[in-house]
Amino acid sequence: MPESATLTDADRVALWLASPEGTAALRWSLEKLRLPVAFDTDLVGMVIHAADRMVQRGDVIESVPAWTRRTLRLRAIDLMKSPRGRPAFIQPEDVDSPAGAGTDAADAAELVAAMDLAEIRREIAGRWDDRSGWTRSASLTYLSVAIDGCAPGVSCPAPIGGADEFDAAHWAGLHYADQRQCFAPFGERDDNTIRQRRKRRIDDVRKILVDAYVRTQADGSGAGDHG
Amino acid sequence: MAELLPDQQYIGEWPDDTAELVLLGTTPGPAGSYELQLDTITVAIDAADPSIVNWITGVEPAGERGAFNWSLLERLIGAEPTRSTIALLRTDDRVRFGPPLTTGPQRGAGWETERQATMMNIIIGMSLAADAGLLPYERALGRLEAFQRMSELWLPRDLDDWPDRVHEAAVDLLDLPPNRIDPDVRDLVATVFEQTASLLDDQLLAARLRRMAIALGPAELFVASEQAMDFEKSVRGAGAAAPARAAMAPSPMPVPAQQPVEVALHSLSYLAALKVPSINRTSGDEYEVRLTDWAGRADGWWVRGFRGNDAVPLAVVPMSIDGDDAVARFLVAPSQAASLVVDIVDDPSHARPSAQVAAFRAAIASGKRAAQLERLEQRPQAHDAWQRCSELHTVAGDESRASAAAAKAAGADRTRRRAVRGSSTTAVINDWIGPVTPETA
Repeated sequence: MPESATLTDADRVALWLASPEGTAALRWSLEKLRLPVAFDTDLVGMVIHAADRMVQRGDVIESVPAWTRRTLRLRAIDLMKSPRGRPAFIQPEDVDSPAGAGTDAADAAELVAAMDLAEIRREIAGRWDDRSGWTRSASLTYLSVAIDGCAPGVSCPAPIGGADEFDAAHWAGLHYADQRQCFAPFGERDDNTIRQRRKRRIDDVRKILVDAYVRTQADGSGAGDHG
Repeated sequence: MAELLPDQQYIGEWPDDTAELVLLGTTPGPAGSYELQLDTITVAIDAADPSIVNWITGVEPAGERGAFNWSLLERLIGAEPTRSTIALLRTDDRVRFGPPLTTGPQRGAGWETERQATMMNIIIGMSLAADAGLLPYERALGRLEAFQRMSELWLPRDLDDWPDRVHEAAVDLLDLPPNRIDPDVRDLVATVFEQTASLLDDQLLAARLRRMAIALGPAELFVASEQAMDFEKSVRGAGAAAPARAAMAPSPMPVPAQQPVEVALHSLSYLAALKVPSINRTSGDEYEVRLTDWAGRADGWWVRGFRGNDAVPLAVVPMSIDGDDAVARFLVAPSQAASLVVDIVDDPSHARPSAQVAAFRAAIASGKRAAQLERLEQRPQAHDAWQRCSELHTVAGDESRASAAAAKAAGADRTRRRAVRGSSTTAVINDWIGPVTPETA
């Protein structure tokens, strides 16, 4: 398979930025606004990030040089402006994945035991998108409780009995990710709907953890920084 | 018709491979730019000296080469530069960096007419109304104030979506709680309500806004409406369902942090309003980030906790509302907390910027604050803000802007400031309301 067929548009943008033409465009973008040369790495990072988001959305970059030149200019201009208000992404109620789609708790237990935490954490946070935001947030909290041994605060709900040792960590993950709809109001008992919803969301978090683990193993990153 | 922007030199940039025309004026100063997008045209003016145009860009509608909104461009930059721009676009031999499109007095000569001053206020007003950290009604007030000024200049006739824009912003005004408006700016807000009503096609909505304007007007009526709201609340409270868990759960008691937690300079609350959150350890491993009186301003924002030495992400949690405050809580183990760095972002997929870029963005925020304080004629506070702006530009490695900000702080630029003030330094409504108020400088 030719190399070009395996490259994403974001890869092509990164390659163009490394070319003499791209380097010149980068330098010109900084000079035009009298920005320090030391900002070049940040600017490249911002442009590649924008290209990644295009790929995630399924948008196509028709002309890599044109798109990259324009994005370089816009990102440099952004530094001159106040941050814009951005509509908050609302998690729709009906986006739960089907029940039982996750891994079982025992798998997760084995998994976390072998984790290279630093790389896993980078992997989880590095693949952020609006739709998966809360699951990634909950996954990071899960690691803090299950692996680092953090004790949740007094307002965090905890399973009462019959739960496995990692359930409390998952509950903490959902709580700190502000998934309030997964718990009954204070003083009330969970009904079946809430229990099912919580289970589905915990499954979603497990999937993120498994995916991050698999990816870090595939990347070969990994000798043991356990935090 | 008089040109709305001062006669300046522009350099036209028309890359072969993009459908975008860029007219470069002057590079932004220490406070960056205010930017306004109208139709497909964007105008940026200098925040430190709004009489200077930083750039104008225009994008062609898809598939229509050369089909800019010429009428609007002419109104913004004048007839002659527009003719020169058209000539530049039509030439077969497109040059990336063309000759100056027009020549005239030195840049920064000041806004020569009231129309130019109005245009400056429109750009500042619309730019501030788009900033992060505003409540929906504050954003709507800012936009509607600018819309009113735009209608004075007959700009709406070039904008197809004008009625929709006005209607959308007017609907957001309906959420405005009268008791949230400072008595000092009630008249100003009431004026925006009145003016908005006159712009609306929807007579029902217009009538409702006029009633709200009356309620905001005389003090007696204002107090009466406040009491009515309190009464409504008490009635609703009597029959309300059981309060949510968060409201009833025992309040966590702050325990002393082992060491101060560093808040990154690029945090949104700082860039939007120079607001630094408080950070407390609320239990053994739980930390709380709190923006006091910011309920609703930080919706959709996230707090990230990083290990400082190698930037490993330890926690990313959403901000939520807790009474009048915006709050986020997260867990960090004691072994990781020693070098904990916290930032606040609206898109956690963005990498942390370098220290220089973070300082640069903070410097721009401080410069914008200084410019705002100048519009409010609060000179001592403006001096301090320019000084801070200068220090941050030095940290960012931008000596040129550091010097410019220091000159502002020292009052060395008084002449130009007077020239600008001579035509207009009228504060726009978002200078008075919003996350940064004059008292919290």
